[in-house]
Amino acid sequence: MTRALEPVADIESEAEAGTAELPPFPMPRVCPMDPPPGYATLAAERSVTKVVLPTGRTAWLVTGHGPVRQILNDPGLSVNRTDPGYPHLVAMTPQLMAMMAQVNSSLLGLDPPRHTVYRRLLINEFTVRRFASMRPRIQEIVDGCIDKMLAAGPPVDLHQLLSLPVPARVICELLGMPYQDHEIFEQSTQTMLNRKLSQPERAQAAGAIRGHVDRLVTVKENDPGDDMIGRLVVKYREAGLYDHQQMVGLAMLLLMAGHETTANTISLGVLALAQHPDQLDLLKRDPSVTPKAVEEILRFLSIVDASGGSRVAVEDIEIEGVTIRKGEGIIALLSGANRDGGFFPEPDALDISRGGRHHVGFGYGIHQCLGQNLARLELEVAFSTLYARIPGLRVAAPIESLSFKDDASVYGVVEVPVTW
Amino acid sequence: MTGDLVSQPTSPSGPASNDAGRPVRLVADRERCIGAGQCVLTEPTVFDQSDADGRVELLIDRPGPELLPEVREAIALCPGHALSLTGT
Repeated sequence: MTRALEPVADIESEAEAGTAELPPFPMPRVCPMDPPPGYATLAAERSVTKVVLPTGRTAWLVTGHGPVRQILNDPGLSVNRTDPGYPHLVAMTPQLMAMMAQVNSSLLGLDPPRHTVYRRLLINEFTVRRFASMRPRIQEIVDGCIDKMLAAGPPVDLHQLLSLPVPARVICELLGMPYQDHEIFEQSTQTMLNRKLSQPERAQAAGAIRGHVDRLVTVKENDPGDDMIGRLVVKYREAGLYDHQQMVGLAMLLLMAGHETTANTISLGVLALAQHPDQLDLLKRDPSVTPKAVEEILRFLSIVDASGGSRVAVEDIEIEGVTIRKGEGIIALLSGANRDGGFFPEPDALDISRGGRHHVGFGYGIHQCLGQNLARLELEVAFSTLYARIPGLRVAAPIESLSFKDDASVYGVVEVPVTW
Repeated sequence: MTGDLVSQPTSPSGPASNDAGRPVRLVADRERCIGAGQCVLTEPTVFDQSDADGRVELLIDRPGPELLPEVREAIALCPGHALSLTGT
């Protein structure tokens, strides 16, 4: 932790010559509910543009529904976050890279054929049917949170009382993790994902999660039990693939991915619906449209805009007439697909009657979100129950006055004051 | 959809058929399946996921014309490109 100043030197040494003319990435938002308008300006020119990252390195930014899907489906591209060409948005210190490597090798950064082996060990834990059987329990958890909101308020912070505890409780129960640990996970996850904080702070937060999860996995090794981590320990052992450190990385991945993303989607979704009262009325009048509303909210928000579509070329590829060379980084911008007016008419309007699943909010291709059907269910139960039980719910502050997570790899909002 | 082998269905109740009059067959490549479940969400009367390994299982492999729009939607949504219709 004493080498905190190193990344600055790294940034300078990594800067490429002749990048002064290139557009920067990421760009700032103007409206907190919409992607940075600079991306649409670039997309209007061409769908493949070279950009310069905060590290001084360059990468190819890809926009448009067709090109983004093409990138996310290209076997010549890798998701390996430890590859030197991977387009990280911050300089990776050795400590951060060590943390990343552990999560990376569990699933997130694996390419075929290893990805195929490890994803297959997981997918029967993530089926539509398995989550459907959890619906009553998810309903109970959501109702419990809304009971607390009603008892405490108004006004209350919806983010703390509903958005965070629902996915935290669900993922803790699913994985077999004591719920009283959730505060450690919540705080540490947010610190770890915040690009504005110093590398030592982020590394320390990652270390806290890792230590905790390591102890939990050790418990499961000795007494697996009927929860997801326990079942996976048994299954990986039977397959002759068990490795303690890899299971710790996988448990960290599931915990963080299953929690921060859904929480931010609930909070931002409530804001998006508040911003579009006609759509909120449709939802309140006919709760059966909630699954469609969920898909539209996922399209509209694109909360893992850049991180979900980052790749590195492992061979030269062609896209839209541009040759991308082996070793170059690519960011397939998820909002650049989800807000493509050529595919979604009036892309900046939240319109729950669209309702399709052709958005790439969960990515696309073989790395598409493993937990998407759990997320769908949690979002559906959360939105339908919230507006059924508190029909007069409204946001108690101007949306522009709230604090948004502009520097996080998962976009979100810090606090959502609501009243009724 | 111009490349599809499927054209006008001949019977409203039986399996849809191709130009040569043979019924269309739905094929699931379990080697490509990544278990995302998009097909099950789209048409649960045709697609299922195995409890054992989470991968796709077809409940019907000769879908009638009334199911073809949903089957085509599932094919388009499949992130692993594991689904296809053939004319044989």
